[in-house]
Amino acid sequence: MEEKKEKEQKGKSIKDLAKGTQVWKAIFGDLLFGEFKPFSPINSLMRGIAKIMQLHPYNMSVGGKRIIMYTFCLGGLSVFFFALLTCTGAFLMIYYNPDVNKAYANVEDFRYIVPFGVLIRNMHRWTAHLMVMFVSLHMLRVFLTGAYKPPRELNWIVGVILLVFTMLSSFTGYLLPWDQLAYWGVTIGCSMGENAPLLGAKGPFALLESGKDVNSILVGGAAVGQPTLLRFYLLHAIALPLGIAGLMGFHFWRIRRAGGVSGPL
Amino acid sequence: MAEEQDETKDKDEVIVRMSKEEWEYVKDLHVSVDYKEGFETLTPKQQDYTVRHLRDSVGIEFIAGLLFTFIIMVWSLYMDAPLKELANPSDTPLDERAPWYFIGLQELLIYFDPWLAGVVIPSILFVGLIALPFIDPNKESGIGRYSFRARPIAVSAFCFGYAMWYILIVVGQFFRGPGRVFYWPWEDKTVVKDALPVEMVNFHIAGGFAFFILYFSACVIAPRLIFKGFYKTLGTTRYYIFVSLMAIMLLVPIKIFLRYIFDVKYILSLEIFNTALNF
Repeated sequence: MEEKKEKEQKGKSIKDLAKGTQVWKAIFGDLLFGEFKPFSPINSLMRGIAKIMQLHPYNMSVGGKRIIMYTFCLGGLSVFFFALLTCTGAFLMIYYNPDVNKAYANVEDFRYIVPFGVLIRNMHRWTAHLMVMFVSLHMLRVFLTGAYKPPRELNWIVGVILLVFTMLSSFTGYLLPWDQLAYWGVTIGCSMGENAPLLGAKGPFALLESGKDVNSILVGGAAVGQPTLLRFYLLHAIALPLGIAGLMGFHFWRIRRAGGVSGPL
Repeated sequence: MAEEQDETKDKDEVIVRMSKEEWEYVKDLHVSVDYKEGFETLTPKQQDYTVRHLRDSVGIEFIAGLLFTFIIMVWSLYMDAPLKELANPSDTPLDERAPWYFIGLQELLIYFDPWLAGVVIPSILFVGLIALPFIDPNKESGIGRYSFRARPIAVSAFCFGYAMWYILIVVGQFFRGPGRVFYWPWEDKTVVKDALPVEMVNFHIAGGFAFFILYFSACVIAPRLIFKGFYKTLGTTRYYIFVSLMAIMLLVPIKIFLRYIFDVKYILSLEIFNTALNF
């Protein structure tokens, strides 16, 4: 008998041992994976939020535990990154002027003067990279699990537009520090529009002259300058985030309408 | 309580497919009601069960968010966002590059004229992605699971394009030095390397036309002959849209191949109304 008991104790995994400790119970006991009371305030709150936001299905079927190996949280993390970018971006807006003569100095101020300026700017930049990456990975996941098939076609289209908006958002933000990297990166990007057939000044069968073509709507002139900076700032800080937020709301609502995430939920 | 459960069990027996692990998870909860019917129809115990699932998936998302907050914080503490000197329109840097997610397109600039690389190819890509759910004729199989066998053509076509996009990005980001010249990782990028003076050749105009006509007709006919039933399942319109999109996608690696092996600059070089159209 004693041998058996010893064996049982040896067979316990580290996770089981950790679950027994007071620290685990204190942190995860009522909140996460431990014992739980169905009608505790926190669960009622969660149900209420789920009902209002429609972020999660009201009811979830059996496979729910496998969610992490199915969606890898890619879409959810993209939303999280968007929220993080909004917060850090709002902080950066306090100190930033979209003016050719001030912009670079403002960004330098983040380094040397503004408290936590470096940290917030770094977070904004790296999170932006992560968001572009995760949105495109999310698209791959959706394709591989056939989640674009009926009745979710419209949501796929909205998703593609969201991907483009994410890239444009990142691209317009690229110019704002007004350093060499930004200036020439955006010049390269905008030269693409210049070469559009018919509508670009340098493209084949150009109908419009330089400074009046489709590219100049974005750049606000023949070359990247003050008008470009202001336009990109407004796009980056107002138009694109609002567009993304609106489309995202529609995206989630469509998921619920289609009966949830396509997979084993 | 017990009576209630027995009643529901008798009324609507629903067979739910689940693994042994999931069964362990719910066996004491008498899962026998179709969950899609709505929250109200479930017994209290089953309500607990659904709420518990909700809580667990929210918990996973919470932990994922926490993990990435940590990763971003550490990343931001140890690596500064790049900031070079003040923008100077009169000083073009040797290695001007677009942001990384557009570097794939910048890579294409080496092989194609700007109007193709920067406008036409991305537009086709965008339209193709939007049209994708309507091109795929297979409306039922492979939903909700990772399965190559259920739809091999769709998965391989998409993954090919997706991989190409990222391979171009990796090459553009890590294998290009000053002047967009190719550098191996062990070569020093601060040493300016002259591009080898290679004489580029163009196909003869007849050859160019012949190439495109042969290529597109091969792309249209070959899948119909090789994959029996492929044309039938897709239908005429879908088939031609799918095949032409695939043909255009495959032209990119073909052009890269021709450039490096045979030093071909343009496959087809036309001049219409004083405008050069080079492919």
